[in-house]
Amino acid sequence: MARAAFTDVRIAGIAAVVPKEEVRLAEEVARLGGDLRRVERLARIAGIDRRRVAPPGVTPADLCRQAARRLMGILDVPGDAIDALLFVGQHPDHILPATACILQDALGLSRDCAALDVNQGCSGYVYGLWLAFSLAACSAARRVLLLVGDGMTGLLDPENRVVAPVFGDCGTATLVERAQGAPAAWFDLGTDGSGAKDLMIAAGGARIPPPSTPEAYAAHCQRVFDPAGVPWRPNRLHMDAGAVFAFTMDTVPARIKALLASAGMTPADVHHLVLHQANRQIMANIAREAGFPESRTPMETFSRYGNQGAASIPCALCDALGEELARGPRTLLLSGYGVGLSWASAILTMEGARCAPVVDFDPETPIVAPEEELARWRARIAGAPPETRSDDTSLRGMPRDGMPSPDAGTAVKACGRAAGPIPTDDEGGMQ
Amino acid sequence: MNIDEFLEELKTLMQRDGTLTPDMALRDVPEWDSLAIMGCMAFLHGHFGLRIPYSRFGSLNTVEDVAALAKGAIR
Repeated sequence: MARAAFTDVRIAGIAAVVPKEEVRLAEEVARLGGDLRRVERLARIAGIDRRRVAPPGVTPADLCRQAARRLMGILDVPGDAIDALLFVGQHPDHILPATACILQDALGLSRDCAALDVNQGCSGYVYGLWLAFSLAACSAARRVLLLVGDGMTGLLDPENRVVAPVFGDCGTATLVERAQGAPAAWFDLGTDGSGAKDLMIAAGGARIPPPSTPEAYAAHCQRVFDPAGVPWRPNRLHMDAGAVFAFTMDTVPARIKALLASAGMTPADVHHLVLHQANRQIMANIAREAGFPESRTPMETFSRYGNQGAASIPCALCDALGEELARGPRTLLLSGYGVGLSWASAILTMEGARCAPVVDFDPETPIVAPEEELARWRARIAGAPPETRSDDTSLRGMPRDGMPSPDAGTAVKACGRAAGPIPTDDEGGMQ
Repeated sequence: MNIDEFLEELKTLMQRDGTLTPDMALRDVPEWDSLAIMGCMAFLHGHFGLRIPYSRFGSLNTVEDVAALAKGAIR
């Protein structure tokens, strides 16, 4: 059972960065069916109002990088003080390598820093905290930089009225560190993979790989209409809203109550219930069933920024509770739930943590659109300016198309037979 | 709860301004969508302690069928 309690670990601070581009629901009416009454209804029932949408070329990693720089500046933590970097989200920069590796370099972190990605969505922040607290508690990594960012707006069909008006983009940074005397933190996590298809991007991975001809690609991109006339694409987010809601209501309030019981607490012992900002209707129902008044359950972050996937809880902490948390110790119950299906809750007391106000993304260099990025990559493959360092000998004997030259091929075979250390070029007689 | 009170609740959670009668076909009620179903599930649980799976709602035809989910608690 994934239930754990940690002591002597604290959150030192959190920062959140959102794209500056705001889209208001009222402006999307035409694309979503042109019915103004429908828009008003969405606003009233679900709390949908506006959201932040990253322009092409701005990725969750970019937002997280800026959040991390801001946080490290506020906390005055140098790059070489970070022992591990975790990137949690559903929209990595590339299929490989891990986005965390790219961020290690971009943030100037030490080469002694461990870096890895975790593919999790709306439960991802609490999952990331659980990992970070585990690492810090046993001193496997005394300071963990947890970067949680999502870019769901790039993963959905903008004309799909079920998901398009809901999601927004955000990148966050949280510093978790070992701190003697820090109060206890409790975690409860779980999974029900039988609901995997309820929230899924089916095409583009190993099961339905990206095809290598434009003709075959059409079936991945072309819309398929469901019985209600809603358009979906196999390579974009598919959501069975009702099934996800049913799962949420069947699981989350009960898990919150179980976590409270294991910590020996009641809702009265918790200052704020901070839920994944899915939508107002879902949050209000969870809060009521778990025994928390709406006044202690922040929901405005959803209306202001949209459902930010994995990043919604840390963004809500900065957006709705930043000033409150500066006033003194506050015990919080955090709960995320969604894709997987998966859920994770934590009770922790934040004391002296800096939760900086949410800021807009400021592109420090010109944004490179995906088309330009692709052109650059094609040029690189074709032999345009080498990016390897002049002292890098690893490609010696390799022509630019990546295939070993006849001589190098012999050397590789020879190395394969060698029982001792791999000989260097200087040792000559490898044959 | 009588049927008229339930219809008022249903109109509120659907955010429907127009009339709602027991014999109306759900396919003729544009507000009857996933948000309305979620609201209805929460209402039936909150008021009657009934956990109705989302899949049950897909087989309903009329407004009266929705009321029937409360198993006699709505008359």
